[in-house]
Amino acid sequence: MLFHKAVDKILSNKFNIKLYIDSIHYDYDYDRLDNDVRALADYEFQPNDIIILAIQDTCFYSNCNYGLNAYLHNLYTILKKYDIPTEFLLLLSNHYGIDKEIETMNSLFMYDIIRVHCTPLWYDFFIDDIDIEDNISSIDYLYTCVNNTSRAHREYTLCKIKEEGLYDEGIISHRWN
Amino acid sequence: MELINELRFNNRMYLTKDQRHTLATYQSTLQFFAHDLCKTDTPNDRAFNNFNFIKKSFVYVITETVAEYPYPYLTEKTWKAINYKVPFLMIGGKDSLYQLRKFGFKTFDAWWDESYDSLNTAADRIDSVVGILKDLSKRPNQELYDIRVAMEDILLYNKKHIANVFTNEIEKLKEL
Repeated sequence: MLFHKAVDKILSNKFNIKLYIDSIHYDYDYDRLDNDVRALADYEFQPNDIIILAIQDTCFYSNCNYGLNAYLHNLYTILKKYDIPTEFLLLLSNHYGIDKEIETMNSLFMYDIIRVHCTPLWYDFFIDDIDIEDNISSIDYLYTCVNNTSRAHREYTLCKIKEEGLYDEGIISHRWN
Repeated sequence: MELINELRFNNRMYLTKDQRHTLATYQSTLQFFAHDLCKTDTPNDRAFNNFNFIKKSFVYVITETVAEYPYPYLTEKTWKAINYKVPFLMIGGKDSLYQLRKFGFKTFDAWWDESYDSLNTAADRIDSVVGILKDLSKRPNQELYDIRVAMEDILLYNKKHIANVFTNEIEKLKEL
């Protein structure tokens, strides 16, 4: 089962989705985000309308002097700029703890996003098509550590593993130079 | 309010002097590496749908999408480890294991110290995880094998529980 499709179906059946703002799909393109939100600036929202704010950013709290998520700051800035009514916003995230940030942002911007829900389900993930051996027959390696995109914590992990002389004891992959 | 110009993927992991030295010493030695058992040619995670090679190792080191965050950020990387019934060490946001336990999953504190989960910086959590690996590396293979066998009940429980968790999540979404 591909869960995000199930989630899409639930939300589509329940709401009239006017705009889906996924931090990944916008890829931090704030001009595009501004443009799409501006299109709803004069819209008269109906009771079942919703704007979904999907937060799965990876911007690492950078360059933000009060220690919060820069993408979230910019999203608030744009939504407030066009006076989008907050009762029609639904924020979904897999950041378990983002509610604390939202409280701070609500206070900072005097713009209250109150519908916040954390769930692991709204991105692609297969659960039931796994073909894997049930039991282990032997231990050939100490660990597996597979990596795709280069990130600071992954680089540091592999550096630390090398420093401790454990690099050759595991199954490691990474895709950066 | 003005927009913030952010720096993406920066290296602010709150590194100590020793940790910066580790990074500086070894970073340049990390070259592209695709293990024979673990092809990474496909540019997305579907490449790992056949994950049988994971059963050849004792423990899975999850390197989540982010680790610097002060709270958990769980993605398919974590769910895969659970779904594939492998014990894991977590390199992710602070309190990731705590969050998993809140979901009802069981973790591995019977076999190693999981207090790393609540350390404040990503680098300190990583140091602690690698320290656990170092300790495990000193044990004979037979002992590791016996531990894995002893973990089977938890691994099976977690595998079954993930379906419950996701079903419950679906129901919560319906109530939004």
